[in-house]
Amino acid sequence: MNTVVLSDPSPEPSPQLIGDDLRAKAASVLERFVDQFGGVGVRGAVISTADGFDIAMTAMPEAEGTKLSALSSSISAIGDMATLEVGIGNNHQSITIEGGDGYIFILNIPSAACPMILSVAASKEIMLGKLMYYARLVVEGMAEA
Amino acid sequence: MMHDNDLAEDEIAISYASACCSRRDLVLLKSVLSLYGAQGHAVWHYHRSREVDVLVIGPEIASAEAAAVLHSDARNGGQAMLWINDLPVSPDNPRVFQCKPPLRALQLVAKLKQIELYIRQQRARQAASPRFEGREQLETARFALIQWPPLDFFSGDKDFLRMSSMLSVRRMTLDELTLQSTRPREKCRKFLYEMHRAGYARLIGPEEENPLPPASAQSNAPKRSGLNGLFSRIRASLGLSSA
Amino acid sequence: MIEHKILFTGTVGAGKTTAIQAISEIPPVCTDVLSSDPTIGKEKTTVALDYGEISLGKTERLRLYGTPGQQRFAFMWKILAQGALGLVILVDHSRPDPLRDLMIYLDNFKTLIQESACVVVICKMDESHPPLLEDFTQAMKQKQMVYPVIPADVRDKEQVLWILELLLVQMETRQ
Repeated sequence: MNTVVLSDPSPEPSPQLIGDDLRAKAASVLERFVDQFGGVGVRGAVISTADGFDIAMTAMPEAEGTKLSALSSSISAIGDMATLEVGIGNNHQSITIEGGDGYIFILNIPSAACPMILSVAASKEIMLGKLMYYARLVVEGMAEA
Repeated sequence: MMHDNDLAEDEIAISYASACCSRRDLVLLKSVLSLYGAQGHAVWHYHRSREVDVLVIGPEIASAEAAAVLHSDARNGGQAMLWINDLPVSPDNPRVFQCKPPLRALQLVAKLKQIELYIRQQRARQAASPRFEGREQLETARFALIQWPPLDFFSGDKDFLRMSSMLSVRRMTLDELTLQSTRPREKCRKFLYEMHRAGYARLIGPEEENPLPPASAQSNAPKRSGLNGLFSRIRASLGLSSA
Repeated sequence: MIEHKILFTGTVGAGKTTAIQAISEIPPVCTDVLSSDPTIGKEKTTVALDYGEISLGKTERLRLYGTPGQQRFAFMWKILAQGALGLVILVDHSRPDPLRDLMIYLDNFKTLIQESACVVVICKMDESHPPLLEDFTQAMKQKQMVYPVIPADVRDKEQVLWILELLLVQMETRQ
């Protein structure tokens, strides 16, 4: 099915339930996160709603961040199904996609008010342990939002 | 009726009849027509019959009748009309050409040219797609669905709905439809006839490419057994009647 | 286990999950998530897929998949369409521009439709305001994609079964 075409290029309206405060907080949290790596390893990051709308992104073209938000939403939802089915918990905590030239990490940000997802694009040079540590800090920081 | 091979190559013959016209207008019409024909345009012939290319309707028609004439089903042959009348014509109606009375020669000639163009285009279209000559043709012609009919067309008959659904994926002949639907041939014939008459199905000319091969005449032979059996199994599991 | 698939698509709230629920033998699996989009007027929205099942005997199964409705999940449409036997497009008549909605799905699933089968279902039909059923069939005629268009209430199992019947009839005719 290579011929499927997105017919409607106009962007969907940005949801209003995401307040400016939340956006600002997400933006600054992401800045601090990327700073930890000094430009090595992390290619970009986006915090999005669980239903696929981007809230804030950094070091990433907007189109990519928007797309990744939707993709991560679907992948997370299937990840949740898998963890439930196999019995390793109720919600996925993280999913790692390994490509030839890098990784995508998708982390669940549980929050009663506004369930979110953190997606990070990284190159192969990334120190996995360091990334997961600081990514978890992002999750904790946003979960209190 | 004059044969087309009596005419010069590009000339065509147009038959017409008239009704409710004033004597003055008829006299003017005939003299303009003979001049018009002599100039190498279409040659118009009068026929005392309704089965003509153009109906000339004058102002002496009663208004109720006029309304009926104007709104008559455009799908029936697409007969053109020269409307010598003040009553307005919808601009969306391509087959009615209006000249407000009293008739004037210049105005009339302009309309004759428009009518001639309309008829040339219509004949070109008909040459490209086969004319429906009658019920005998139903037996062998191949039909394609061109628009899903409105619900009341089906009159609640589920067989008709199924037949339309079949026709939506494959262009079929009466034989093929009868076989595929397992319904009586007469019912299938009626379906195809009504669909064609109402304009929801059209005939396929022999030169047209059929995107799906016609259902094989030996359809009783086992088809790809896997899939054919699959549909019966789906029907059974869902509690739907077998086809 | 031999697997077959039928796909349900359409805008958010049109009734994909409901339609699957009406006929699935298992309680449908949904990947519904709380919606942050106030324009869709729903609390939850499907972000990956809905899933239902009908068994066809011991070794065979018919899977019913519902796609997400929102266009940003169009990549899921592509994934889910692979190998489907047919497509049901649910059109929500109460939306502002249902004709445009239908055109989007016809365009995006064009290849699948042309290779298999399609039924267009108008949900929440209100005959007192446009577009009328004929507007839908006329639009499809212009596109030369002529398939059944029927109004239905997909909460009713009988009506969903009838939709599947029209789909099956197309699939059988293609053989």
